[in-house]
Amino acid sequence: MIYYVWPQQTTSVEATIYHQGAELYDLDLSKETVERTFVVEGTHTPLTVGVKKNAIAILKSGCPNQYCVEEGWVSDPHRSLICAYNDIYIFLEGASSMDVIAG
Amino acid sequence: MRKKAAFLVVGLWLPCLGLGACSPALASSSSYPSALYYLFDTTISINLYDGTASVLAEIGDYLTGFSALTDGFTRPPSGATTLYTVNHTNAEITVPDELAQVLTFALTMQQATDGYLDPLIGNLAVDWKYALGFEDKTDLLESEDKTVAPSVLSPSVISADLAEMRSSTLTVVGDQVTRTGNATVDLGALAKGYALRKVQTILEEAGVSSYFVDAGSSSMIMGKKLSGDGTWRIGFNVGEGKANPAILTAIDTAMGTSSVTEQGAVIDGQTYSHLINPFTGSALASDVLASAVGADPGIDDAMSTCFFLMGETLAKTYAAKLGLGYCFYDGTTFSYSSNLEVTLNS
Repeated sequence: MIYYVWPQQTTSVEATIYHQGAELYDLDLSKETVERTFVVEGTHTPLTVGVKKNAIAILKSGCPNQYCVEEGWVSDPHRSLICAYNDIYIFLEGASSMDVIAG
Repeated sequence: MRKKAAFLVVGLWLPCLGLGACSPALASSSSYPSALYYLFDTTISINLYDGTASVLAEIGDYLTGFSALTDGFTRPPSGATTLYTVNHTNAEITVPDELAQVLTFALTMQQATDGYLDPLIGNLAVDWKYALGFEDKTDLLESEDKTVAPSVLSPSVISADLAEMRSSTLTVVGDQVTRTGNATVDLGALAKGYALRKVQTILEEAGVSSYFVDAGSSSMIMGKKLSGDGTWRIGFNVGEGKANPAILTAIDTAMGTSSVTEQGAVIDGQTYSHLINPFTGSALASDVLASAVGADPGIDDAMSTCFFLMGETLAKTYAAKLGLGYCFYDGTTFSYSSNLEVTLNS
């Protein structure tokens, strides 16, 4: 029997979604049991945000460059997802063995 | 998207010229003075654990203004002189003191690194960004065009850009700046770190000792953490889904990091990054990440770029000369200088 141990660096992740500096959602991603999506209204287009246990992603956006969508699922605390075109900013925080990540 | 963000910065800066301070943050926390800004094409997180809202505002104002001042791509408001102005004239011009000082710093670092940092790399850096798909050439304001498939910049373009760099000059005497030739100035290798020097000064003068300012995960300054022994635990982003290779323990210091994880492209099995060798014009990356650790965030920012370009063997000599600590990760091995406290993750 082979056991694969993935370094457990994070026990829970929280995500806060802002639009133009105003907080829209404050999500405890550790409590998400199934993958789900919801729509967030950006400055120019709506965005589809996906959440699942300890992870979040911008699945769809009407922005021209799609950088935010290409980031995919993010689960590291201190990371962020940004759709600058739509002024949508998603920041992650969580209990972690690290205070911050460089690079 | 880049142009849109740049327009946002200038748009915020315009009223600041006449009215003084104004720097809206993206978000803020109520438990201690903290704010998030989108400047220098990245997010800047400011956390002042024993600071005040007025100090936070002063820092935000400064960073907003400095970001606009050192933006070489966005036309400034009429009557204002920024790096854009320097890049669009060959005449001798008078620039704001702060711009003259950061340009002087760039020239100083060019000497200190024996040319590994070259402020006249602007055109070559932009050409590589377009080739690698980091910038959409048609995205001047708003465009339906999507990202460009990454490709290697042609040798002829590289040669032409290098030739322009060799035949161009940048001179700073007091507040007089002269750029000759067609090469343009790009301060991307050091602008964030240089800005954090001023932030350090603001914090010291205000007596703030517990803080963490993170500019795009690539330039950081840190005081003492309020809990435990006051040290910070800094991990390293080596790619989505990849385990953090090490933890750096640090306190009352600064750090610069250059890596391929956020701006890298793989073409035919080889990794290219936004970090361009000013001697060869190559964007090939041999490492994943390089960090410089030392008290001066401006030097750390500049040297992390140079360390990445030099490779570890050469970087060691410059680190020793400048009294810096360093970290390297090549995809397999994490190495670091003996003057840093690092715990490797097995």
